[in-house]
Amino acid sequence: MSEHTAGRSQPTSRVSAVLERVRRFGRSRVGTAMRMNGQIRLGGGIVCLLGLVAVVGPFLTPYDPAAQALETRLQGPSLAHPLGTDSLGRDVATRLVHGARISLALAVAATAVRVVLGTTIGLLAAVSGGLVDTALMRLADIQLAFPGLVLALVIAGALGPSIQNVVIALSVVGWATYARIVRANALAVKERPFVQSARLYGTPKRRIVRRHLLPNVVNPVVVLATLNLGTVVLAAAGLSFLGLGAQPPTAEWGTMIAGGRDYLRAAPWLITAPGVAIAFTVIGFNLLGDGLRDALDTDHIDDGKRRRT
Amino acid sequence: MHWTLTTLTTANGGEPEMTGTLSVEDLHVRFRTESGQVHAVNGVSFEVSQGEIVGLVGESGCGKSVTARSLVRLEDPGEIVDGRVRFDGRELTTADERTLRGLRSTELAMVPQDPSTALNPAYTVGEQIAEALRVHRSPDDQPFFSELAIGVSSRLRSRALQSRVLELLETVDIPRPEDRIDDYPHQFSGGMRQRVLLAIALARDPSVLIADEPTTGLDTTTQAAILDRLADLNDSRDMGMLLISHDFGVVSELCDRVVVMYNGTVVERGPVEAVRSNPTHPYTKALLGCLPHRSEPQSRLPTVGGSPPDGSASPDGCAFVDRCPFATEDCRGAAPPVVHVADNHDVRCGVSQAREATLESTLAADDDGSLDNPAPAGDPDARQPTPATVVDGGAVRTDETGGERTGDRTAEPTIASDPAATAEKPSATAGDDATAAPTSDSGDTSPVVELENVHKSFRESDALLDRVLPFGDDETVDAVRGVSLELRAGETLGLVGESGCGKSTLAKLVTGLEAPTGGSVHIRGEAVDGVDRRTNEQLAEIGAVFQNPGASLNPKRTVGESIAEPLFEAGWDKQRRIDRIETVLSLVDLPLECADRYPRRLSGGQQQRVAIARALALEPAVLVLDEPTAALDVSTQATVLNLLADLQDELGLAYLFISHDLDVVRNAADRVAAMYLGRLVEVGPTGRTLSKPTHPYTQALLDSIPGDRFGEGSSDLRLTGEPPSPTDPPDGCAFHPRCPAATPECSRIDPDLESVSEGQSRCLYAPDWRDGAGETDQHRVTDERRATGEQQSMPRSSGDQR
Amino acid sequence: MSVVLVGVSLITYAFVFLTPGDPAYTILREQQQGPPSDAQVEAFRAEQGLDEPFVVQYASWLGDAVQGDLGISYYRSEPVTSLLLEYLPNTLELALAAVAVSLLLAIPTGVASAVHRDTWIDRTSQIVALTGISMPNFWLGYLLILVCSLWLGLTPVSGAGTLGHLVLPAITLGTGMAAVVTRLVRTSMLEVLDAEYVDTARSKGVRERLVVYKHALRNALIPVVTIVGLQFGFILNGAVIVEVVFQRPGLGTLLVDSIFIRDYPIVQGVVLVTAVAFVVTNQLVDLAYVALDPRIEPGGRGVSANE
Repeated sequence: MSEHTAGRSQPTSRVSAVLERVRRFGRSRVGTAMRMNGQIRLGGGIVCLLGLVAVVGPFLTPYDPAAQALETRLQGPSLAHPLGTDSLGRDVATRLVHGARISLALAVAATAVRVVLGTTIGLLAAVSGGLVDTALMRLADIQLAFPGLVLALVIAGALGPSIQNVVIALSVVGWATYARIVRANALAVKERPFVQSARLYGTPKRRIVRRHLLPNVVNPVVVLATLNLGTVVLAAAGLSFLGLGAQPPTAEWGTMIAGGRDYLRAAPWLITAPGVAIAFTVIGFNLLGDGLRDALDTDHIDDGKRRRT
Repeated sequence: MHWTLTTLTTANGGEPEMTGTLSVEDLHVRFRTESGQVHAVNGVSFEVSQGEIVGLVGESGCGKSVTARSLVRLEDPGEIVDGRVRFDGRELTTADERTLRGLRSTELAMVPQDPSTALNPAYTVGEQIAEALRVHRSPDDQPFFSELAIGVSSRLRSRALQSRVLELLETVDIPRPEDRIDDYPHQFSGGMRQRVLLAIALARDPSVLIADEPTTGLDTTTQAAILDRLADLNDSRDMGMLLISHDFGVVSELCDRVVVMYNGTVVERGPVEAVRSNPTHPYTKALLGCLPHRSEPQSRLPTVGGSPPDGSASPDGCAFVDRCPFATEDCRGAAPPVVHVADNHDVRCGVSQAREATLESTLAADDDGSLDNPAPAGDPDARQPTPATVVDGGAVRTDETGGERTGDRTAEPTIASDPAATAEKPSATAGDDATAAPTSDSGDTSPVVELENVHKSFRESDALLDRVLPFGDDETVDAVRGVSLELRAGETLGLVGESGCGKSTLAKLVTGLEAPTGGSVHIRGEAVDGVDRRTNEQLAEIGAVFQNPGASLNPKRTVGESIAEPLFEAGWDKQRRIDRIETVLSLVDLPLECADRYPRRLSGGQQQRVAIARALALEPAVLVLDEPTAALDVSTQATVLNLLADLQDELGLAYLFISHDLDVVRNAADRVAAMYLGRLVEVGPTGRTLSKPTHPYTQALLDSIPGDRFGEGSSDLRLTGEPPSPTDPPDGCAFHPRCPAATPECSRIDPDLESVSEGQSRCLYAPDWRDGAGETDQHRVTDERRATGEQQSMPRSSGDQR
Repeated sequence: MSVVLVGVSLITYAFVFLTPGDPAYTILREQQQGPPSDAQVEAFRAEQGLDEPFVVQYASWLGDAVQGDLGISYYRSEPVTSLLLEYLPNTLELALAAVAVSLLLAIPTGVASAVHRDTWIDRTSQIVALTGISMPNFWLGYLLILVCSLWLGLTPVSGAGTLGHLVLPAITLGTGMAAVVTRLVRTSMLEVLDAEYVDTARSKGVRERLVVYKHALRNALIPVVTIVGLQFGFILNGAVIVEVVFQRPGLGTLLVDSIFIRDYPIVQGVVLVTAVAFVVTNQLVDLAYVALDPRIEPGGRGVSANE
């Protein structure tokens, strides 16, 4: 692509090509908006912090998340256990840190599958038109006809409870939204004069998609994906809470709440800590997503009809 | 302030006893944006008296709309920071919400800018008019819940209101109002919505009507009808009117007085005739000078140098200083004084030389200096009287020989700007023996593009069943019905017609974005299909430029990348691509640095130049230009038209030039084709066709050009109604239902396109319809005057340099 | 529409075969808590028609389902249909209450937020809404139980039947949806308040309150109605979790229980009912759409097949 750049400043190597892109981005309107948008800073900060905790945190915690210590069970917050201990005497703070890794990895994995699957199908439908388009969109309609969590629940249940199966279940139920948005946007871009021009000088479809359609539908996808990371965290926690996701003794936030519900009165910190962690994570993704939406100027991210997770 | 003083001493002053006078004094409106304050209006003063029509003119962003909205206190999100708005002695800038409601519902009515968005889509037009009537009756008593409930039912309950609403709909010329009263806005065309908005305004029986660009975006025929209606209303109701427009023609057609705005200030004001015939401020001169109809056909258009200010800083001195060839140091430092020119005619310019200068001398060179083009820059006389940057203000293209220049043109050896590049051109021209410059093959008069009885129909329904199954009762729309045309090297064919007439579809058939459903398109004699089936050589022959320059470039790709695309597809290697980008950028007068920029960092005019550069990249023989200047301000339009003319001279291009603006076509085209309901109704040389048309439709289009008919009464051939639906074209001559000269024959016989004096016409009475009725004699006078280049209608033609 | 329903039923039925290995074996092992014998597996297959080709199985299941027969529960030996009818009212009650709570909260808040854009009203409601959509509803449910039931003793902890049983679940479910709808109403209102026709109304001299509620809100509601329809899916999702939290006997608890014990006829029944309910709701939403937005021709915006 970059060899195609015209004009004076020909990037001489891949590195400088990348640097050039970064520089251009910094100068661009999006770059400016990003620096200024408070929501992005706050949300981005939260997400980065969580990412750091997820990557580094498990190495720093003094306890083993699965180590039981029945003699110190259901202890309230103290210096040794800042967030208390659970019914098996495990340190809640340690488990929270380990849970961050699972939640984030799961969210990223499921969202990535959704994005790739949905974008591909959406573009394919928009470009092919005709029967292919109709068939793919019917497929999306069918997926959307199931309430997301119910479908995920059943898939995860049928496949058997495990984290991998949660990823599969949440990917299967989420792609259609992307497909619809990408298709709607691609169809709109397709009618824009610059795509018509590209057809005029004989650009093959493949290249029209890569050069003109994809870069111009990427913004809504980025925004939706960011917001989706939050909902996937929520949904995954929900599945685990119901017992269909991560299995004990894995330290997962939803599982932790499920484990704490029997001690609601005796040890309210057991559900409070993971609840706050989930909410904090989702707020971070939502802030980032909202901020990106403003910065990338994609107010009309939905195709007017279906926005769902 | 000077201006305020002058306000009091001129015109009918601000005496409070004058009823129905709306006056603005030293109005300042500011906007707060993230990047600082924008001073949209900087001290505007004028007034509108009862029965008077005042025009407010200026280019986009000059603050005219903000001013209009401030008058009814709808300036939000802007804020009025200084100045007064008075109506009948009442101060509006400090009035409370209740007073404002009273004034809005009874005295000051505004017709907003965009008819497509100004009507509430959720309520019937009848209800929206009735609401205005109800509010007018009792502005202080608006029952919340019953008003909310009214929205739930879609029909008007009250008989009395209904008859009044019908009356109003009739007043604004909506046909069959009783059938339309319960229709929703989306069921109306743009022109009809504008009429509904007018009816809403009239429901208040206002003393002053403020119309913000009431005809922008409408066909000229519709525009003419609405302007007529406004003039009638002004006559019959003795209503004051403020007409805001970017179009000097519209304003001069209707207004008594005109106020010219530039960057938030009034630069000139006076009686419309005085300002038109004797523009005094350099900006007014520039604005008038750029209008295509001022110039000789096929002449270079004068342009204004520089770019308009963005209002980010409050200017101390004259706002026009950076673009004015007469600017002195004083202009920069202090606010220019207001000078009294004649009765009621004032100008805000302190340099007498500037005020007295000829119209052309205020116009700058249009940056074409860099063009290595021997043809147009000539005429040294043009430089003579001007103190500053004037080049070729009125210069005529050297090959200009009236309407017949095609023959001369093709005989001229065309020198390509970059012979090397030309030589490298892929052997696109199978029919041509010479590879160097195909268009220089003067002996070859065979057309580059030829349409033979081309048809294009679209299916109405896109439903799956209709697409899959061969049967079904989906209607087809015949967008193009049997068009035959030829386009030769070096000529410009102007294609005119109302919106929906099929001219854009015709353009797509030529470019190949659509494939014909009947007939054939030939490029250099070879029949071609849609783009997907054209060879690289055929693709290279045709370039296209679209209306909206912003949308025709991929926002994610730099200018260089965009221009390189066609070259890449044609298989050019990298070095050749880079060379070619340099060449075409210099052809369109853009600096090389542009190659690394993204489109959004360019102005509209620059974006359009890039689009032209990309269209030229593969050295096409034909450019299809679909409304290439419609989205641009007049001064930018002039530079783009000049550029196109230069490129044609230099490269021998053929243009298919589509425009709704007959003045632009008159300037640019050698031949004109008028299209109606998918068919050509008239084809002929520009000079003859646009002065003595042989089809009533062409005449109607001409008569709807605003401004030209000023002072000639209302006997023009005006079109009533709107074009019929292309799904169901009328029997006989398609134009007969709207044709004033139609006879019973016309509804039976569908005429062919037959040769008539130098052209072709599709009218049964083509040779003699204009001589038929005595009343049409007047047209003749008008037309003859037009034919002579409009000198008589422009008293200031002494300024023309030829 | 019909295409979608057929697809939905197909997928619903096919879940059984997602289970790794032989479904009959898995089901029996689950039932007996131990490996079943080959004879048992054979018998089970024959009984449930699992030895026939998939298409035949599906066709006979669909044929029965259309007639209201969704098979018999593996465990309870009761027809699935009657089980569904038994549990449905509780879920329906919860869903409607939640929708009511959310609309009552969301519309005034969203309108106020948009009208007073960038004031403290707007900021507060936005922060609350952001928190609302970010809170897992099962957590919110337990917090409410903790505060209202355990500490204050205002409401029963679990179960169904009385209004008291309904309050906390409805709030739990409704506030989550309210947060989404508030943001949507705000965005939609902001867009509409920018529209030129709102200024047309103002320039007529219409009162500001009527400008907002008669001219702006009417149009702003058009996209909101769509999303509220889609939020019905959100409600169904949430109902599953909220019912588990409050131990309400409803379709959600029924579904979760059946998934664990692999009582497939019930799982299929619940999924089919919710999916059909969802599709039907969206059809109703489209009707509401037509009523609200005169620009849309009846039938022109079908959920699916007639589009």
